[in-house]
Amino acid sequence: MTKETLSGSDYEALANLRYTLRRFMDFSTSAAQEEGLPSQQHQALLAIKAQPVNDAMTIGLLANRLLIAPHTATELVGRLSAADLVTRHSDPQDKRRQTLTLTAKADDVLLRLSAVHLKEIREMAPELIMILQRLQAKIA
Amino acid sequence: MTVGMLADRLLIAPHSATELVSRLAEAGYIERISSKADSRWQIVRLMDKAERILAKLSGAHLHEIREMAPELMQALRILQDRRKLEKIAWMA
Repeated sequence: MTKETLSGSDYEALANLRYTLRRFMDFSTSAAQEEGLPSQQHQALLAIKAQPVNDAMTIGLLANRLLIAPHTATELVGRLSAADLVTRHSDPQDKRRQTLTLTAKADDVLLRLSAVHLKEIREMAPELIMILQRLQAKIA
Repeated sequence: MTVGMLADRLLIAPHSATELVSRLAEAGYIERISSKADSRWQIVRLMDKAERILAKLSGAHLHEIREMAPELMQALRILQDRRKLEKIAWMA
């Protein structure tokens, strides 16, 4: 670990980064709630949607992407399935493995949520890039 | 920094900020100073104990953020570039 002394502006940049990320998370949670989705369910739908077509999402992969325990991911998928948002398919090659796909209902919700998130992220991006550049500056 | 400002920065309710500040004061991390200008206002200040822990944590965080920054900036630029592309497409 480096023993550099932190300046007042280092602390300021760290605090600003957290504030910006907190605002984004707050925005995201509210947007998902307006669609009647808990934030974690929204993040699961996004992770499943973002998975490359030839490399289907499984419960294990989902747990990795959301940084949650495998049994938590299993419960989450159970709730998504009960809400008609996700379908589980048994892998013909490996019956213990279940792959996950989104339902048309989930696609609709995710499309609306992703549009408002993209808009919000684009608004925040210049500020966030500036803060990150400021935090990187000392490496040089 | 006041309790009200802290609530704004953490996006929490004022009463939650008041409780948080009480716990931090109890643990010896911060002290509350009444403002001379307005006795209803309390300024919150870090104690030495907090300064030491924060310096250690912030050093570790800076290190981690610098590792993650290129990946994060690339993701942000991709999201921004699409806007530029859309703008061009829209103007054409």
